[in-house]
Amino acid sequence: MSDIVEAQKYSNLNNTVLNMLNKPSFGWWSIFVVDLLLLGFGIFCFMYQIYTGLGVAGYSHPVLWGVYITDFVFWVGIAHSGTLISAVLYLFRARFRMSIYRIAEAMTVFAVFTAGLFPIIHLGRPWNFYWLLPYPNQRGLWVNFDSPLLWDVFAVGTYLTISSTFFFIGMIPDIAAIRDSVVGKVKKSFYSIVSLGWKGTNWEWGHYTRAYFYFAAFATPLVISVHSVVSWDFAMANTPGWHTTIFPPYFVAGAIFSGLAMVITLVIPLRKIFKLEDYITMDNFDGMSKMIILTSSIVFYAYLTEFFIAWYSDNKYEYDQFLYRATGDYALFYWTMMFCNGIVPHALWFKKIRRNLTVLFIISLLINVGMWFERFNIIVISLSKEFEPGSWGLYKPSWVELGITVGSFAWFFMFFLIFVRTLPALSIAEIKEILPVPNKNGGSHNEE
Amino acid sequence: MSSEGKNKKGSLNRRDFLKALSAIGGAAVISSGCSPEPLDKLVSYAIPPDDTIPGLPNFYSTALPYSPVGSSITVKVREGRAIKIEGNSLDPISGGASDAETQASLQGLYDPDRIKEALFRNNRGNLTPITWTSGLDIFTKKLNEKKANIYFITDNTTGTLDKLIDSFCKKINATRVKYETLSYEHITHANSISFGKGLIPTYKIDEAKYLLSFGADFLETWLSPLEYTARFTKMHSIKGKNKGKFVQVEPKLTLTGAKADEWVPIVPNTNLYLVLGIINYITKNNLNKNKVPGTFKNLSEFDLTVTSKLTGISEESIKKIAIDFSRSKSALAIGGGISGAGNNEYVTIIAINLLNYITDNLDKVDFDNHTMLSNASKYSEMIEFANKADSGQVDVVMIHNANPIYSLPDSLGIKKIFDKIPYKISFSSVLDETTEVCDLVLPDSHPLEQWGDYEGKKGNYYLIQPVMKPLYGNLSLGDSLISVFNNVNPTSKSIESKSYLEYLRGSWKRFSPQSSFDDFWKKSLRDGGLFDKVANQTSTSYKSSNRFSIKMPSSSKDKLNLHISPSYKFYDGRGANKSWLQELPDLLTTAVWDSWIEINSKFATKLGIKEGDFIDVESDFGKITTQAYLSNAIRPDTVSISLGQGHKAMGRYAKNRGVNPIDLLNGDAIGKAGNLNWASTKVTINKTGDWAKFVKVQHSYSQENREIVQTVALSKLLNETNNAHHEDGHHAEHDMYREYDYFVHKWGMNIDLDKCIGCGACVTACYAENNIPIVGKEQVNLGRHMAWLKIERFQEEENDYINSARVDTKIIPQLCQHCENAPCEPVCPVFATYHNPEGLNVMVYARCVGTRYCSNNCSYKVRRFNWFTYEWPEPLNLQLNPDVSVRSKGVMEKCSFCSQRIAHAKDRAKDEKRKLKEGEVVTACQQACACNAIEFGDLNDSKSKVAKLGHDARSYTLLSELNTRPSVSYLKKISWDKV
Repeated sequence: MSDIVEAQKYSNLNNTVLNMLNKPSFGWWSIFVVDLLLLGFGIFCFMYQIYTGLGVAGYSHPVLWGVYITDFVFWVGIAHSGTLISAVLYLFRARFRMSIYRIAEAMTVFAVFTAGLFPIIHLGRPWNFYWLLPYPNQRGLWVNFDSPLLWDVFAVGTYLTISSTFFFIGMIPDIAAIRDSVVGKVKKSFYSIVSLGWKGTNWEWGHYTRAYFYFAAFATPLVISVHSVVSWDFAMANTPGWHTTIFPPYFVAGAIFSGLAMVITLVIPLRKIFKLEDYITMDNFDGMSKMIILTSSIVFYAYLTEFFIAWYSDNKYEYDQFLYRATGDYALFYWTMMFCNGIVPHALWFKKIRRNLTVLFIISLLINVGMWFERFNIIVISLSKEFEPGSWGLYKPSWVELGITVGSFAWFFMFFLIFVRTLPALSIAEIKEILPVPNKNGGSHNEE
Repeated sequence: MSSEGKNKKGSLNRRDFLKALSAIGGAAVISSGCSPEPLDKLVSYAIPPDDTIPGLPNFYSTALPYSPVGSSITVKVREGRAIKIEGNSLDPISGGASDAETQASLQGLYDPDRIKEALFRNNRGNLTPITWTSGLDIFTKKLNEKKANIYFITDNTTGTLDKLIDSFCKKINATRVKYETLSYEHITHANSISFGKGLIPTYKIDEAKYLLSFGADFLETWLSPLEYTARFTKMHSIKGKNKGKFVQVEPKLTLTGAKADEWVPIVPNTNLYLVLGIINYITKNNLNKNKVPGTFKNLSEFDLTVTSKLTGISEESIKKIAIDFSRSKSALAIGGGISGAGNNEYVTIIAINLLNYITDNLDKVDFDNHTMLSNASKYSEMIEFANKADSGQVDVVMIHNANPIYSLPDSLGIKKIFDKIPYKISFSSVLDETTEVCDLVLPDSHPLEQWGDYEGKKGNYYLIQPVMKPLYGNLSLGDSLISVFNNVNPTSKSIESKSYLEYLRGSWKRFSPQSSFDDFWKKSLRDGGLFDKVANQTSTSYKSSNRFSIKMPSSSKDKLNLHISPSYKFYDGRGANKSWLQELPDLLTTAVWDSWIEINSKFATKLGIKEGDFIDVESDFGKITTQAYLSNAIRPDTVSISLGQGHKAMGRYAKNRGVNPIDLLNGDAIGKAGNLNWASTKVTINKTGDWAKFVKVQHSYSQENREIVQTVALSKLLNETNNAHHEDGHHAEHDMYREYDYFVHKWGMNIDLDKCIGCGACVTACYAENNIPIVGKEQVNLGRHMAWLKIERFQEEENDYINSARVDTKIIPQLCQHCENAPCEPVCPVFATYHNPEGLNVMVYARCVGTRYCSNNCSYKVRRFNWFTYEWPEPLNLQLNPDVSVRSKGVMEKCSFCSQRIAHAKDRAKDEKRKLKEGEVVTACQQACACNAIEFGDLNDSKSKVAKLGHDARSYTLLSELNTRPSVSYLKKISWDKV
């Protein structure tokens, strides 16, 4: 590439990012309105469910967890790659993260927002959800710290706090850039407040990068912990198909896997719409694809291990459970999962496919579907045939559950749509770090 | 509820009621209470009646006068409302147990579709409410204007009411029919031939060591089910080294048959040949103890080959039965179940009598204690009535506790016949099919609101007393008759009694001298009646002089045999408007809220029928359409439909639900016995092409090798030392956690699977005691029935019942196991469920937020979730037990071991400054159980029965390898096979 092109990239970066914040187009508005309508339907479903009772969902004894918990785990999983990309890869100095980490972080925060709704939606008495919070109260009651559900409260709560803080800290210099160029009193004051008076001095940058490093180090263990804790919801129970030690690594790998797929799903259209080809390059996709191969392999290995252990342990409950998964009433869902998560990602071994965005987009969608079914399979299939054959039964989601699930996607995209129009979707500061500096007199921020 | 002013003459007013009851004292009856006017607001008793302590129940002994033998009960009354029925332990028939029907009779009392006032058909042809005064006036007028041809159809009324109805009929010159849908003319007729006694005896099956039943469903509806359940338990349970053997011969597996040690699937309507084959084999091999009289001329024709061919039973089996029967020290053959009552059923009974006679087993046939069902009219008398009515010879018909339009076959055109009767008067308390076409309805009050008595078995007099103020201003039949008695012509004959109570007391004076009558009366009220045991002094002697020559049947194989099984839930259909019974799963199909046709699975597969297909069932006399249920345990040449559903009226729960198989029958009375031909109808079946999911509670049949119900072979059990027990996977040394300390009590339960028959009495008792809501068919379809205690049945799917003669129906009551290491407890984030110091796994409804994690983690899946806020249509809500909270939506619930009963017992002990006694806490399920399969008590007390049973050689806990350490232990079922 010629120096001139590179120089243009560097100078255009600010404008490109700031242009994304311009007055929204008709296209954006129409998507946003459709999104709000879907969200409205989801909210209606939830209200209807609160009013009439949880019975409007498709729950059927003995399957007392279904789509809502599937959605919960799915969204928590999605939330994973954001922190992975922004924090872990930051510590590992993986350069391909620079141009996509902001989007991934935003996705993380919004996915946690979404995930956090489901434990409440799924409660029999959602209006009492605060009883799960340990705070001194006049009821004289306390929570049960033995319960994995309570660990969830902490795990997800911590993750939400840290990931949004990290998200926010990373944006400060970019928001300051917006503040400097934005017109209008309201906008100006909003960005002024949010940028916390960032001036971009050397002293500030020194502290900022140290703080960023610190937060990255702080957030890193959360990548492992959150989904491990979520997996304990299942692993700590005695249900055949749940009660297994492989769950934490298996869930973490699955979470990163699904999160990366979701990032790809989001970034490809975004790149196209906002013409970000200069900054989000094929190398970025290539890097993510490779990580997908890695995590897919771990997940696939875990699937096989489950089967092996079910056979090797000589535990009839486990054995029957896995036989049932592969051959029983829900076998179609099981093999959908196997295909999407275990087979499809291996197409990415080919460089051509890694760099073909259409195919990559389709693969990422398939992985999203596969990972949703993975959670569905673990939850529903395990519950439908447990220890006591006299109690077995099947579960079929109702329209209310599907409505709320659709609503949850709308809720997620609502935040995302607002995000791309109000906050810098690309990290100006960090991308500039990796772009060749056009002017030799200009300061270059090394990564020190 | 009526005000005082609405009380009619002859009825009981509040003051009399109080007067009569206030004298009663004693332990069983803690004197009287009277209901307050129901108020819209919840107001506690500011000044309670003298004999009522708010919050404490009163118990009254009374009885339910329902067929076949009635039941003596104790009713728990709280603040003037009957809330729970239990068996009366003084009653020698039930022994204090009850069945699902008895439990559910509270729902008859609080039936939301009960008629609240007298009804009269106006000029436009509609039934409209009128006052009772004018109702009784019209009644009197009607009887006085028509003098000829009055019919009074009742059920098999006994005791004083029977006497009153009889004298009333005599006075107005009415013909009386005591119509019972399930009547046993074939038994009475046969016995009059065999023994010269046209009665239904008591079969002392408890004294038998070998019981051979030819289609008698004695654990369900046959003659006196509760009594026979108790007797069967006595005979069949293990005592030392003895255990009776039970062989059931029937074409379709029933609840009774599921308990059999050998189950013999016989071609329908061929019981007679089998009995003759057995007699013939016994005679030929000189195994008989008494000389065989020549009752059956061509007995010798029935050799093994012929019998086997006719009955479809292998020669070996017949031989084995004959040898076992004749060699047993004490054998007994019984028969005459409704489902087998075909063309010549009475001859079968004669043959059975003969079999008992030649093997010298008539000592167990006791005519001194016969049942009063013997007095029921023959079916042929009903046909006579129908014929007369058809030809316009009946002017007025009065009906009480009978529903002929429902229970007579459609082929008679009974509805049209009823239209021909100019005036029809009903005393029914619900608008059933017959009452709907009546011109005047004087609704009877519920037995729990009235005075009366009932004699179910000879010498066993139940006294019926009102336990609460009537819900509506309706009179009992007795009071209605008394109040018009002296006004109907001829007025010369009159009675002195002003009320039915007075009449009743007068009638009871025959039992006691005048001087001590009041004391006697009080005692009888307290006891619930007069239970004089009639000693069995007369020996039954066989004296048949009739001669029978049995024709070989010509076999027609083109059509299917229709097998109608009477329902142990609805009896003859009268229980169909009780939601507890509708939602109580049928044991073997686990179906609820509907009818079905049971078809042999292999046969059905050949026809391309699958479960849930709608099937047209057509006989020469009618056609019905219902869903298919496939079963291995029915003969391929037979289809079976259960009785009791298919109501076109009667109330919201019964109406338009299921089908009535009686509509397929030939209505003619048959033969000399004059019974309805229940069993000889042939049908064809065709798919309609429609399909719907068949709604049942349990979907899997197999135990999947998980040993939920464990069995032990008798031989193995007897050889084993008592210590060979507890091979659980639990190793105390591996426990991570400290054991719980149970300082005072540790509650536990033991259930004997060898005794349990799966009748569901415990389930219904649990519904009544614990305010368990009814969810309806659609919700059951989603697996959302709320039963805390459910009966599961397991059958190996590959078992070919018909050819293998393997008996493998296994039954287990499943309830919260109250585990010591309960998996549900640690996972609850809000401590809504926890382990209490008495070993109970406690559920705090108010604390529950509804994560449902506890249920997911429950290995036994016995927790139920409130998907909605369920409702009790008024006045069913009056039945709710105030000691148990009514749960709202979003809350988990489950068996509490009746913690409210534990609390009551402890309070009582504390008040009396003593320790709790063994057996003082009785759970609702345990109380109801007629086979004493359930024991409950303190495991901390090593001398308690439940603790001892826990160390029985047969004791095991469910899924013990999970180390949940349940407080419920089970005793293995004992099998005769090698296991």
